[in-house]
Amino acid sequence: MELVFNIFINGIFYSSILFLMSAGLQIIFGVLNIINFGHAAAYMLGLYICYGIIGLLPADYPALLWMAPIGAAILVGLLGLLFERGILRFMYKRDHVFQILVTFGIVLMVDDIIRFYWGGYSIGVPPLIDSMIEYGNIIYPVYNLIIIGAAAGLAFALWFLFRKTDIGRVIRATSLDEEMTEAMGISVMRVKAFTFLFGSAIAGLAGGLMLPVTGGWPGVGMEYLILSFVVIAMAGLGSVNGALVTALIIGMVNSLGVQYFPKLELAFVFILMALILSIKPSGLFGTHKS
Amino acid sequence: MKKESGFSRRDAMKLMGLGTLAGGLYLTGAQREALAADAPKAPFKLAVVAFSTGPATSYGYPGHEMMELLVNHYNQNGGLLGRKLELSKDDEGPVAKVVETFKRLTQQDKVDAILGVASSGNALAAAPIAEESKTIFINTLARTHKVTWQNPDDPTKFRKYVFKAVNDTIAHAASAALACAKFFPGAKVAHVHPDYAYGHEIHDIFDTVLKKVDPKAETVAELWPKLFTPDYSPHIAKILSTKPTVVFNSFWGADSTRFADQCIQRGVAKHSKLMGDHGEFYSTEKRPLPKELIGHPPFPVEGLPTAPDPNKWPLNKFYYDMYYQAHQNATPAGAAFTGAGFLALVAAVERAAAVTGSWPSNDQIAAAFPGLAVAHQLGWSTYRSDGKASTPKWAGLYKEQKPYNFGIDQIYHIPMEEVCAPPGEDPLEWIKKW
Repeated sequence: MELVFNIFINGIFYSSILFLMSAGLQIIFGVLNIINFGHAAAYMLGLYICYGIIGLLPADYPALLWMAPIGAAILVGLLGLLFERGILRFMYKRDHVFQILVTFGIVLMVDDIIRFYWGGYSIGVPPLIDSMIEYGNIIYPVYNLIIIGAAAGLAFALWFLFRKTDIGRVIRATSLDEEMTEAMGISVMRVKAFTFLFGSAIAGLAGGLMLPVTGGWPGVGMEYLILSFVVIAMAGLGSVNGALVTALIIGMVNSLGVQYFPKLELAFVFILMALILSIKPSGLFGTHKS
Repeated sequence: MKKESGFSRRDAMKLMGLGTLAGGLYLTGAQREALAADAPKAPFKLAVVAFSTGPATSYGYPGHEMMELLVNHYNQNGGLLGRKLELSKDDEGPVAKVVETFKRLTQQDKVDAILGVASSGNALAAAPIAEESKTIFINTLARTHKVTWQNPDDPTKFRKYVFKAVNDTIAHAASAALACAKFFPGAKVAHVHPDYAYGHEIHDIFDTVLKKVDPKAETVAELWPKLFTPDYSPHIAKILSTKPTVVFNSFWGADSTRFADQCIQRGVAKHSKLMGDHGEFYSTEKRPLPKELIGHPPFPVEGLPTAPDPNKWPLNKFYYDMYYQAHQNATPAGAAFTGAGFLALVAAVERAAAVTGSWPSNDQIAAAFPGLAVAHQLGWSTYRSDGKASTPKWAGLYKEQKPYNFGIDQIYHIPMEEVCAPPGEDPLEWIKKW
């Protein structure tokens, strides 16, 4: 029973991390049609800005610590907007290679800025809440449950945004046909800018929330970006629902793999990806032909 | 009388005779003055090559910091035997970058000595370049046992210009096995190691030695997360299900603290002892050792801020204070190791100068390494005929010790002759003969 619970909850937790990291990436690709390596920089900035805010907050009021990841998300979103307006919008018509070079370049720049400002060492903070749930031999940190809750909340919020609000409909319309959306009197440029802000903020939030779990170091974003690309490749480029389902699949496969075939834990995920892409090259939920 | 818990005061006094600055044994004050007066005007060029970016920064970058402090310290005090030191610093990066850096340093910049290199693969690629150009290379961070061998398959022929300042992986893992057998006899061990050569080697050697010194010990889990895994929850579930006495891990940098944090959060530290470099890397992150890890064993190491006892071993206090004043932090292992390598170089220069009566050439400095004894922050090292330093290791259990981030209780001082293969023998084969 204890083992089954652990395998299940660990799979869900890992899925949550993957979804938090890949959701913004999917949204940005869906609307801007850009493979945004810069997402790694947004994640990294979220993590370090959260660390900086925690350092500024009074230690006597632990409840205030929750402001840190939210503050990080807002700041990273605004920085993302600045990047989109200042640089990225000039790349929309360019080849994907240029886009990758520019977005990868921002990762290197942010990496250097972080090292300059915070130093090259790894950083870490204790969980924002250190309570545990204890049931028999099972001990599980409440903070991990909060991350699971945050991922679930984000999935619901994205569903609500895209399916139930006008803004969501406009974003979906833009992703389907930019010219038609423009003809309807909607500024596609604004939609793209808002989407990039939103996607970056999600990455910033993910970084801030993950700081107490994983710590950070310059370059940390690239570690997670690779996993995020696995998620979106399997899901199909641009599909947020697909990212959720794929993250759940990868999380559970990883949890089971580590338990029963620890020497092959990483292989399982990539075998699964190869299998899915060989059967359905556009991914499980993908419609893009490229 | 030598005590098991450390070394005697007599030992300390004897070793302190080597000089508060390394090399003091080899020259008198008058000889130093004479050598300084005739010292070449050109600076003695040093380079440090160690990670200053990426996740290995915690291990590599302190080497940059320590070299900067030491070079400034020497230059403010008249240089090395009257010769100014000039330092260049390079990021280590992947193997292709290291090769390019070593070629530039040896052929273009013509440095006299290079210190550092944290990755074993990088060290093995860099060593032939240094050897070919007759540039002294002191590998201060990587643990590969082959770096001083002329040929990676032949342990009997040694390089003349390549030296190793820290004990190799074999001595490292064997020390951990001895400590495990001493403190937790009959342990049920869960192994969790990063899935690359270093992690596998540590596992294999630990397992081999533990089976020999404690036949009742058993392995209950073997887990291989990739380097820089963000979340160890699945591995921790496996650990919990196997109910080990000891969770032995060879993580370093952020991996080490992240793994320990997650183990503590999931209650592993309540039921099992975590054996790893945790204290070291919490210190690097400027975090106190979590109270849950008090009483747990560190991975035995060549030295720590509290071992050798800074009250009995002034070099530990001197260099700790030097680093602390500059960086408001305890000396990380990468800094202390690199400092030890630098002081070995200083000692070799002085030893060679004592013989030649003048500022020695690189050939003469290199020839002075075998048999060299050097005192440094971590204790003392003796350089063997194969170019490797033998440095005693400290084991024990974590304890609170203010003002340091942690101290070591029940100190077990591991003699290196027990865990280091003799020069000329392949350590992996030697360990099988135990």
